[in-house]
Amino acid sequence: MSLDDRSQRPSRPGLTLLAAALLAAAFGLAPAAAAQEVPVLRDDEDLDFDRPEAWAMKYFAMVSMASGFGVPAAREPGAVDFAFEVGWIPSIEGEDARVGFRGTKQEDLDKAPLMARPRVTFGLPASFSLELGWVPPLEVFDAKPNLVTVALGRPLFQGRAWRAGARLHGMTGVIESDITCPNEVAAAGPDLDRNPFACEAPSEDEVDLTYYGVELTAERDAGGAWVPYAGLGISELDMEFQVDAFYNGLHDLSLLTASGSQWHGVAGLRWEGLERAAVGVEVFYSPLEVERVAGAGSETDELLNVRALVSYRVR
Amino acid sequence: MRHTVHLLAAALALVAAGAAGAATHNVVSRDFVFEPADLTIQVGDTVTWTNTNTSNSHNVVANDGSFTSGPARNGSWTFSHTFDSPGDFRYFCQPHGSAAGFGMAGVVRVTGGGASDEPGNLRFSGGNFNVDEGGTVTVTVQRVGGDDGAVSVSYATSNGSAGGADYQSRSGTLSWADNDDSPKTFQVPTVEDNQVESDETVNVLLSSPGGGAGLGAPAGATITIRDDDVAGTPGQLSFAAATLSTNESGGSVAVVVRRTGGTTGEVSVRLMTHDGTATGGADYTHVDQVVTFGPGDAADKTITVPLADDATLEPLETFHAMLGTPTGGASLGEPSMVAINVTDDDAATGPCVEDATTHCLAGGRFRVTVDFQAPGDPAPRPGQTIPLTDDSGLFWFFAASNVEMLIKVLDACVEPFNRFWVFYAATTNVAFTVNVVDTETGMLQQYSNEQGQAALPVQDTNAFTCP
Repeated sequence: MSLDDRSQRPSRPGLTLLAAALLAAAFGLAPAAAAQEVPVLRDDEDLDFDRPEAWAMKYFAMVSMASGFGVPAAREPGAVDFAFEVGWIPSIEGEDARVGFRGTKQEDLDKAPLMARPRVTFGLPASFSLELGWVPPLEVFDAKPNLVTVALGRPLFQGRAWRAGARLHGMTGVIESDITCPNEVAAAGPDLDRNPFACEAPSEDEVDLTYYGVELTAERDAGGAWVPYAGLGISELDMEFQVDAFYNGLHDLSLLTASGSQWHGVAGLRWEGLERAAVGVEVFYSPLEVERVAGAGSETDELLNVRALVSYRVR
Repeated sequence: MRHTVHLLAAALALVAAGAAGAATHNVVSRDFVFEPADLTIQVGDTVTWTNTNTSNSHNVVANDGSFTSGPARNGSWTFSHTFDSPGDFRYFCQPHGSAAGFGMAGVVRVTGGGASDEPGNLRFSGGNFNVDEGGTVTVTVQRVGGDDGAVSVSYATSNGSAGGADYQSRSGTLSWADNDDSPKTFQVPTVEDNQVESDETVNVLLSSPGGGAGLGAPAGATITIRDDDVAGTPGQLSFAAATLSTNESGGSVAVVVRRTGGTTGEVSVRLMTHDGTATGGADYTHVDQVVTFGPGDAADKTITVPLADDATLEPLETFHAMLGTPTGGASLGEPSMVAINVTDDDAATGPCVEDATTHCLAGGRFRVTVDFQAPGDPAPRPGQTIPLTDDSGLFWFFAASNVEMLIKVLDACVEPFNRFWVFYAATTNVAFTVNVVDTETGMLQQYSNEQGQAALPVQDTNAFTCP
């Protein structure tokens, strides 16, 4: 909760200080200044669910949520489907990105414009299906995600032209990125216009995203290749943001946590024109509450994104 | 020795005077901001920062390193610093602010030369104050460069590009006590005019400083009244009301067309009347005309629809006026249709008087008559009454021994009915019209039977509203 210890994490400023110490020694100067330790800040805080920092975490939790792309199919036990999902991540810029320190500091949240995720689904007895997904830890756009999703789905109703089903689903994982001190900002060095918080190195922040919830979907299957569907879901989010940044002469290791319930809606269209393959496109909506200005009351700053899924039945 | 005593006394007096002139100002660190973030003080004044955010660690660090509260801490703490020289001293919270002024940062502006025996100068806090049209602007006057003694200054507004109709003029005097260097304010209300126009200005001027104070710069300032009417928008055209009610004897009804949301360019809209239960030509005169608003014209336009005043007893009748075909880029607003209710006031109000053709029922409130017309009759004739009770009566048409109708009007003004009821039964097949008039409101209800049709009983439980 305070400046209680000292940090000497190897980092660019650490190397700079080491070089300065060597230079100082070479010129017969006292090495005290070069060897100074960096105060560590640990302002751990459990955030209200509508704090701007929590809003940003909710945004990324929901944008990476693995929705079902329709009613879970009743597969034969042992059936296997491979799928590949691509989701658009709407950019967060300008005042929307002013989420740090209760909405007073602009953060670099505009990293990757897309998220890709392979999925595999196994048919289980009693019309259940088990779906696993993974966003592998490949660093792109200065962000390295590692998110695992799991879902257990089953159709609940099968009429002549309508189907309905449910999925219990969850996700856990982490996104590593330089959010507090972006690489290009830290590279600006002492230029306060471009590096206003005097970032000394790119931060190594981690966002831990965990959710579990249920999604109910209904779709109309009139016998054609096109299947429209819509669904609603609610999830319990459990999120952490581990700051790891050197700025203003501090090493900030604060841990911010937030948790709460969040609902979402989906509407989409699936094409099943081939025997083994299908393509789905859907719009994902989630109303995210945020109090941008302390004391001004919450407002809804929703997430609305578009996703697509291509699937192929292997067996 | 005597000189030494005198010098010591003078020095003590100076110290005492200095102490009396210095002030302490407070800044609160709340959440992730300093309040106030921009503070103007005098040389020699002290600023005390108080942390009220117990969840996060804060501190105060001067950009130039001239002062610091030490490492960031959470919990309650205070830190004070006395400013001994003029200048702008910027500071920030090390974990949550920036020396560049972002986030949790602030500035202390220190003015004056440290002389506590100066009355100081009086000036506006800025050269321009902005206000949206219709709002009230607060103008701030500062005392800088000293706070010794009581001082005052006069202020007054005058027209710039704004005229007297655009704001309420203000003049008066602001006063400061000894050692008081807090800013003083006065307010100037502005007037909403719904006109699309350019921003307008009002001049404000300080004058006649008193108590030895001087006028600082700026001693004159401008209030800019920002026009909030939408420029470049032709606006919407609508009626001023969705319903109009009038009496038939009024001779006409005035329908108002309104332009809102913009006044750019010339616009027009077509106004047409349409029959409802009232008939054009018989009950009113049809109107079909184009209503035009000129550029910048937001004045209501009144269209008069003539009404026909006849002597026939009629129930409440309605016709409509509608707007259509807007031009000049204007659009139709709501309401674009008005229902015009015409009450027949031929059924005169006033006490009901029973006579040979009139029953006064429901305690005398309702006047009941019947006009019948047998086959071959050139015109209707009144039915004749046979009184029964306060609520009911009989009518005969051809002979008193041949009763044609029993009618009653009942007061059902109780929950859940809340209506006067009209019931009748007739043993006839001649044409007739029953007229029931509420003598307190003039409302008329009519019930008719066609020639040759065996009269059907009527049970109207919604005939008249209750008072």
